[in-house]
Amino acid sequence: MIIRFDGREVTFEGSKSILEVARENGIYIPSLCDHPLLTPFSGCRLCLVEVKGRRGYVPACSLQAEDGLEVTVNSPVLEEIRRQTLELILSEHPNACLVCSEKERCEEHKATIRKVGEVTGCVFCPKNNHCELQEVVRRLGVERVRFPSTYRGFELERRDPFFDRNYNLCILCGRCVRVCQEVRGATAIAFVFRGSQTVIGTPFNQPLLDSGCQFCGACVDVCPVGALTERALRVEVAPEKEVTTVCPFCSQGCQLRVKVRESRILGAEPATEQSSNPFKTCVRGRFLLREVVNEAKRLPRPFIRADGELREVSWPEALDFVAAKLSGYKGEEMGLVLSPHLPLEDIYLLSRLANEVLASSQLAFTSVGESLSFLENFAQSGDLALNLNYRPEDITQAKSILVGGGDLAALQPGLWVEVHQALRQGAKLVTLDSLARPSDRHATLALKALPEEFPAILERWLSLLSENLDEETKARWLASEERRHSLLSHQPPIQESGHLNPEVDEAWSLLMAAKPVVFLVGPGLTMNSSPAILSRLWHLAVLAGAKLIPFGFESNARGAGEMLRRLGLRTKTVEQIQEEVEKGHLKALLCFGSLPAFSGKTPEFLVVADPYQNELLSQAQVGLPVATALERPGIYVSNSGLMQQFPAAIAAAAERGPDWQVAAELGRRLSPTWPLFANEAEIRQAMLSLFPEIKALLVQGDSPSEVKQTYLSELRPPAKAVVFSEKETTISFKRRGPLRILIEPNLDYYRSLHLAATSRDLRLLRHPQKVIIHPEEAARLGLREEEMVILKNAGNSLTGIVKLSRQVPLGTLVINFTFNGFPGFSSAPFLASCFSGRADGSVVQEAITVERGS
Amino acid sequence: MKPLRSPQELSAWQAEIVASRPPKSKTVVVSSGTCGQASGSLDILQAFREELRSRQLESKIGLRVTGCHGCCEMEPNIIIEPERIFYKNLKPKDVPQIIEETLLAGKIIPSLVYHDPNTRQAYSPQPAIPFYTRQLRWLTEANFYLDPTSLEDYIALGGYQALAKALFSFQPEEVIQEIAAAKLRGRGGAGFPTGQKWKICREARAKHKFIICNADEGDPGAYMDRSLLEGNPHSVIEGMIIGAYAIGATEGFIYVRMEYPLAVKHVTLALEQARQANLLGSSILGSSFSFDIHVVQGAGAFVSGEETSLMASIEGRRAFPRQRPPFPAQSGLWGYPTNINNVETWANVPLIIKNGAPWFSQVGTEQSKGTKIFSLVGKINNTGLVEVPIGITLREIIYEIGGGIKDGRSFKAVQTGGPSGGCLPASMLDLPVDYDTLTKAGSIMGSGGMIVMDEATCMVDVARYFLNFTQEESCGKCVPCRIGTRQMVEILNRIVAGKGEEGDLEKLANLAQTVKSASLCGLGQTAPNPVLTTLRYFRDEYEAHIKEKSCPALVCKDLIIYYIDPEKCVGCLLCLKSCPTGAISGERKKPHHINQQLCIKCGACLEKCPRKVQAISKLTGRKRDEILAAEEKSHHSRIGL
Repeated sequence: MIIRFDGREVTFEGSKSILEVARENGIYIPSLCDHPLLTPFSGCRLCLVEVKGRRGYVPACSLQAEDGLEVTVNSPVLEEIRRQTLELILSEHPNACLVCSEKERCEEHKATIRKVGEVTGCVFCPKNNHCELQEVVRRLGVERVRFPSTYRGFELERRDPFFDRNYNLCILCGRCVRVCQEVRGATAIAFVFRGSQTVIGTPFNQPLLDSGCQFCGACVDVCPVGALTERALRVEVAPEKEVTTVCPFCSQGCQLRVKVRESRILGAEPATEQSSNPFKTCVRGRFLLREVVNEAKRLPRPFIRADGELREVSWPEALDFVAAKLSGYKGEEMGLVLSPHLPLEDIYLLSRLANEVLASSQLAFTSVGESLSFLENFAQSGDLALNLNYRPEDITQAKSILVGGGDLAALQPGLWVEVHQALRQGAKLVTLDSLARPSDRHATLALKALPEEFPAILERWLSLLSENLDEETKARWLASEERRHSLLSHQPPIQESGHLNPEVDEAWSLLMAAKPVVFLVGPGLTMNSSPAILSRLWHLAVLAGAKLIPFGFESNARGAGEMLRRLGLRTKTVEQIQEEVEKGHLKALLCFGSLPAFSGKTPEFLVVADPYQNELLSQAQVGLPVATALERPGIYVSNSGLMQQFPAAIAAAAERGPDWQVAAELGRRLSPTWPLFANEAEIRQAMLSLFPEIKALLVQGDSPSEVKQTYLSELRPPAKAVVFSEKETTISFKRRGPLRILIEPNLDYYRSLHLAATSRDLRLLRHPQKVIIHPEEAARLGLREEEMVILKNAGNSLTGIVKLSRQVPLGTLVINFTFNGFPGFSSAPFLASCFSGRADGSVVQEAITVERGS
Repeated sequence: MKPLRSPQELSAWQAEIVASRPPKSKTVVVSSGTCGQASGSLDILQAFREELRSRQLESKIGLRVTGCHGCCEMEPNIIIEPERIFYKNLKPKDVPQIIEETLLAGKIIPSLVYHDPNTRQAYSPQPAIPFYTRQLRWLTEANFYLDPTSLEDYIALGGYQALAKALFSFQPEEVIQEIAAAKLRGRGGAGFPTGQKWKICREARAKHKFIICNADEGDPGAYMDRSLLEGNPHSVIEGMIIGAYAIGATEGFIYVRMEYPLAVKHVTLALEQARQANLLGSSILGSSFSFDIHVVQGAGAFVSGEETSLMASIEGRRAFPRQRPPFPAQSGLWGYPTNINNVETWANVPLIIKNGAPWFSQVGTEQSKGTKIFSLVGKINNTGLVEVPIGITLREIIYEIGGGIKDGRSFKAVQTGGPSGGCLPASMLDLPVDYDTLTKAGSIMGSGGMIVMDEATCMVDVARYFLNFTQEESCGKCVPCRIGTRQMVEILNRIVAGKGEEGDLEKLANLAQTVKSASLCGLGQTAPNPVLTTLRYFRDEYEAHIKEKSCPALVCKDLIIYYIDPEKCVGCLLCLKSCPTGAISGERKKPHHINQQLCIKCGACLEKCPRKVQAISKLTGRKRDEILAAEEKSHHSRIGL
């Protein structure tokens, strides 16, 4: 199809706006409000063009390109309209520098004076030289503003964490409002007031913290001017280089463009040119990446603690010491704890070290709520495995969506953005959770249930589903006659009030109303990794033809699960390892994960390899400072099965090596047959037989600043029938004492660093130490907001800070799950001691008591 | 009320209602729209109820509460049927006298009847009053005869017969043909041919279609739609059902501003009645057509009257307009084809279907047929709602219906079409009022606001007033409207403050042109009209403000002074006592003097100065400068300069 721009013929394909076609062909039409990934706004009026045969002037951003259109972009009238419109914008935007006759020379000689609060000209503005308004002024050659200037005098908004809002610079293009609403589904900001008083703001001018903001920074990224700027970068100088890497926090696998200067990470922006994650990054990747490497509490050098004395040593000395010590233990007396934040290369070598050199099966991962073992359980089932790979389209094109067991928008926001996209196209959302979640307001039905009710709800759904199955399928999938019978007679769970909850049935009919269906299940559902829940979810997905996507994992949890499956290894849980230590069976432990300090017996010999200082180190005989994922290359496998090979964003300091080096060096010292590896590339070569997918990465060439991608190979669809075992069909939750504990997982950590420990801004947004209680319950317990509270069970205690919320059910404490990253608040041991699983599949929660702290 | 299952049942019900109403000897009709209630009609009504009860006349004399009768100037008023005796500006104390003398004795009370302000002639029957004789009240006449809360009243007058006709004698396309043949054009302002609009929406293919009644009447001083919704809600609903049938819509919305509580109440009640009578809902009147209507209350923004922002508001979003295309007929509410018409347009539909296109097109101009309601306000004798055939001249409306300019002053301009319209001078008085001629003259027909201005109106000030209104009501989305109108207001503020500069008018006109051609929606595109028309017809006034720093109409405070003529002043101290700032000095029986430094130009002195003395006047331009110079000189001499 053809369009003529001022007589010049260009061709285009597909459904596009005139502006897009012009951009693709290098024809300049100024625009400030349009953004390629957002719906057209047509507010700035700079892209007005004339179209032959149409009345008046039309904005190119919202006019669909059609074959044969004749468009006038430049004419004296259009230029005057554009110029006058731009002057109107400038009359409400500090413009002294824009029209200053000395601006060229000023650029050469000026110092950085951005620390001033008020921005009265470009040289004071953090967006100077990256500003789209500056660019348009330059392109249109505006040299004076014919209208009197107005400084609107808004106060700089600094109440909120992470970024500043200076609405004196705002040109009301509405991009921030659109990205927040259309893409993120948060609608934290909106246009407020009208006429010349119009401004962007929150409802009732409350802080963003209270208006549902996720602090994803998408608004900052789309702002064409300096109105929204990352606070930490306001006073920064320009970066020397930018490196694209993969976010090390959650298993979303967002690509980030890291700004580097003098081996320092200044900040990061989502790599939006990579179309798979536009606006999908979250507060962690967008604002907190620098905490990973610039954290002051990095472990500086290797140390050895011997004879009660702590000694800084060289790497070879430390490794010799470890090797010598380990040679004194046998097989199962040694163990390895790994982190799902480790890249694939490291997991490969460390697992092999455990299996081949140490000959021990004492291998565990510190993963939030054992989410990893959930993945493993699926992966290990071999022929029965569901294909866990998914593409964005699997979610964005779904018609019915279940989100259960977690705050998707906080845990894995990228998935939420995809869900929201589907909702905008008419999909229906059902949520299943114990707590109120921001996504509930988008839900057709928000089902609230307690964790002990989840199996019954799933059972009821399975029962409703099996009503519509043909006999053959039933016979194939629901093996025993009794099983079929019990399914068909299952009633919806009875709520504590004593009523049947009809919403359970309604939710299922909503989910089954339109296909494709996708189930997104979070740690709230999968955390206990209870076979009763897993097998039911599994059957529901298979029989209903739904895509099952578990969420809420660390950056390489999927890779770790896949690695173990392919190596044919099984892991233990962290609790099992701790038990083995307690019993004295496990004597030498190498910890690469974020294990909490031991409260009882400690291993005879403890080696901790971690980038950061932490509580466990005080019990260790050897401490090894390792590099972070940003300081070395590696491969992460995202939740969706996307393998991404990332480069080192910055170089590691000489005294910090990658984790795999520990395995390589120990192996060399302990085993004569252990192969030698000099770098990650060599390990990848060795992994080729296990991961043939890596071939696809090798052929993509070598770039020191780009990410290479390929997908994990897809698993075969399930073929065999599954028979419920007795253990899987029965489940019971028991609780001693009146108070129920709800565990709130979070992914705000990397290795042993909880981001809130170093970021005050994150603490403002979500303080890990907050224990959330219903105000009435708090009154009963004599607790007040912001006060300290001490929780105790038979053997353990935990100190938290009270936060009141009416969204929490009565009789319930919501406690964040943390390992050892937040000083004084490692909730994992306490939470573990609150729950005990029985061999019969039942779970018991111990009684806890609550005291006011001081 | 039983559900109607066929057109025959409707007719039977109508016959039943008519038969059940024995002609009463007398009926008192109380005009009780919002305007009537505001001026005390409910007190009059209460007085009648009590008096009739205490005299046990309730069975003999009927009482009907209706919507607005149109003549705001004469509220509260009543009409006594069957003679249609018209009593105006009543007080509750008049009620016993009316009952005794008129209702019982059959005598007319001269002090209560209408007197022509110019000729002082008395008119007692309502139809004879000149305000009404020149009107053609096709839509508003029923306001006399029906209680808006009574479906029976509407049915008795033949209501919903047009719907029955459309459903059972017309194919949907034929309804559209009839509307198109009648040359009905949108009464909301733009005047788009209604038949054509319906046709586009009919032809759009979609699972759902919606229709909307735009009752977000926001122009200052305009209240045509309110009067129809309050006084005759079923006529609008009937029009909408017919439209929905023609278009194939399944659901309709009445978007009515929440500042119209009585209209909301009446229309909500009427919808409920229509549902109970099976005039709304499934299988309307036993046909295969199903349709329902919801009321959505506006959130109080002028821009919500713009169709795309109105739809955004219904969807629960901020009332932001969006760029068209796509037009609502292609992609409207929630992306479905949607047809939006104004209240008055919908009210015309039953008339056309009932009486046929030829009947409808007997009046009007070549391009636009039928009648149009105007709210005639300003410096005019008979303020009120007037319904006239399209094509009548401005002069006829203002002088024959409106009774001319108040207080014997002379006509200066008429503003049509609200803030989006323009000001037309006396030379345009013989312009026939229709969409095209008004547009050609630089104004618009608009939804029907008509503000008459006399010689004491400053046109620069008027332009500033309207622009300030649109400036404040701009939604803030597009740059030309949000900032452009503000910059225009600033220029006008400068001009009326005597700080206008050479070149300001060119700057103003230039900016006006940009705002007009670059704005996103109708609000911005028409916002400069008051400025452009006044610049076109009253440029000399602008120039006087800029060059001579004078306001010929003596309105702009910064350009005038109040002056006491020492020759005329009798020294009565009245003005001195009224002055809030103590700017006036003087002694009894000696000429008073205004200290211009202290004067805040409130005009209290001018009002107090006895009519026969007339010593105080407003001065501008050279005369003002002379007085100020003399005062400065005397001041200097006093302080010894």
